[in-house]
Amino acid sequence: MKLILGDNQFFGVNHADLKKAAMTRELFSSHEHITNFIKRSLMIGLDGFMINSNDLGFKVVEGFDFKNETTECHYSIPYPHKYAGIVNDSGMIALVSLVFKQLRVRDVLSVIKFALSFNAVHLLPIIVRMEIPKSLPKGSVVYLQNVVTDLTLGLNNGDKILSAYVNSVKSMGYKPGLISLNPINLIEVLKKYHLNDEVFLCFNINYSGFNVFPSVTKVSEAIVETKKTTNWKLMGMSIFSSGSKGVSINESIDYIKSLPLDYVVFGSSKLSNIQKNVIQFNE
Amino acid sequence: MVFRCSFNGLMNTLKLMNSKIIVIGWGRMGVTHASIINGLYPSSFEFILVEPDKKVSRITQKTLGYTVVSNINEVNVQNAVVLITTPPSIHSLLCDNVLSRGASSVFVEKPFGLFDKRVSDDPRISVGYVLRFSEVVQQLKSIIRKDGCSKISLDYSSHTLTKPPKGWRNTEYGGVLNEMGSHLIDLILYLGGGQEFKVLSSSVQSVISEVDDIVSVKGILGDIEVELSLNWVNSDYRKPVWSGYVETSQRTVRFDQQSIDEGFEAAAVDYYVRGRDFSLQMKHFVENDKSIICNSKEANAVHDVITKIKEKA
Repeated sequence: MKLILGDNQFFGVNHADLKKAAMTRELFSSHEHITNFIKRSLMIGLDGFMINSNDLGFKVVEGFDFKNETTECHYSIPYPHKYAGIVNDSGMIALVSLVFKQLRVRDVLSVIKFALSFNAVHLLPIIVRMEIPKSLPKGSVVYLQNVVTDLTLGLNNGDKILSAYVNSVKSMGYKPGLISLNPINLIEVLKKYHLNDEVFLCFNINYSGFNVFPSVTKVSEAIVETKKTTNWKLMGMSIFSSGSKGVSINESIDYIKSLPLDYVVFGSSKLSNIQKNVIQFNE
Repeated sequence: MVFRCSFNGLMNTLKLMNSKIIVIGWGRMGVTHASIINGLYPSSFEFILVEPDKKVSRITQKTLGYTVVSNINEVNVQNAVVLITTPPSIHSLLCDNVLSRGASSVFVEKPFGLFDKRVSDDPRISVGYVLRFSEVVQQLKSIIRKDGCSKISLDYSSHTLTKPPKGWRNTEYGGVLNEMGSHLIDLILYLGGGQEFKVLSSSVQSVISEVDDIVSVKGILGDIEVELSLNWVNSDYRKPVWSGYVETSQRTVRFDQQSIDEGFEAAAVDYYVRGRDFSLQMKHFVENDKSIICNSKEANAVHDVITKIKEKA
């Protein structure tokens, strides 16, 4: 099981404690601070890091030295608040305008297909390209953020759109990933089109069941079944229940180690905590 | 706990299976609600969208495969479940239209109509004051039921506004009091059991928009002391945060949108998009469970409080 550094601490996200979130955000006010923390975490023994395509995250990847070829970068797109803000201010069609403003010559075919069909799926390769820094090494995993995956998953033709995302990322030389809080629904949909592809799925799983939907039992069963029947890589997130009371770190890690996951992603603003977790995962 | 799956809920859902859901306004909230409903009840409903913008309509039709019409009058709404997620200025018109033509139930996003063009009360209407569905709020409601309440203090802080908003959001119908304050005022009225709210003092400040960006209120709800402060131009915050405390006869209970002193058990939902509260709200609406969801009378009472706050400032 590979261990990946998460990015919540960098961007002031904590699903259980808002005060803690605000405090940790202050520690990482620049991309240099974040990069240093990532480097030190990798030295402790983490296998890679996950980071979102928001302004700071984009800069981190742009400036990161990827000479060490074993360092895995798990990049998540998009930064949902950016797009939510555009829709709020100027409506849905503003999203299409945003895409058109950033066109390149090689996008002509996609634009023609969109103009002829009005099917926005043809714009996906352009949107994906817009979100990825050129310096992101080929072979890195590019995930679709859970709010977008899950929103799409619930809609009519959502399966086709997610499949188009997988194909777009693959065609760019990256590995496709999807983050979801509805892993069972997602697995069902992906099996239709990508049973034999290497797709990365990242989802909540933890001992206490915090934000594990629909239930820990069902998700853990789905993990076992999926590893038996697919070539997919599975990553557990929120493995410490976002620090919720009542479950120890030991219990959390022991539970996660009992599952056939390929990766886990976790974060902390303290390197000492990360080191303790690495030791315990490796025991 | 309040969020249990009831037999009645199940029966109501079975009755609704294969019925029509009409979403009026294909913006952020329309898309979210449609996704949640289909996620909760896969392939159980026929969705019809009403979207006047021709480009949005065509792209939606071709990409998602929904039936999209430009005008509500093109759809037979008899016995349909309707979600209205348009700007508030046409809520009243749309509610009258679909209810008079036989819609079985209507969900209207907040803010509910406009304070000077109210939507008429109707028991078939539910309103999107979603914070009621947070476990924190349900825990507070249960504490207040048991121990009573002498004070409610609520704070909303965010850095939502960095430039003046466009359209109706920069008019008297926008502002932090209407857009975010309405959520917290609904919470205060919900927690206080629908008593009459008297404003003792209030201050309203414009910083970026042409309307209210910072608001501070003191008032009385029955015999409960109330404090409310709202600020959506606070650069100390990256994400919106609401928090506060409640004083009961026994103790002071502190909380924010994700935590409460005594902790809570997170609700299980069958499909999650933006938060457990959004999924629970749609589940209650579709299953016609009125135990938590805001009704039209309560939503109109929120407007009355906002009007009083503005008058007092």
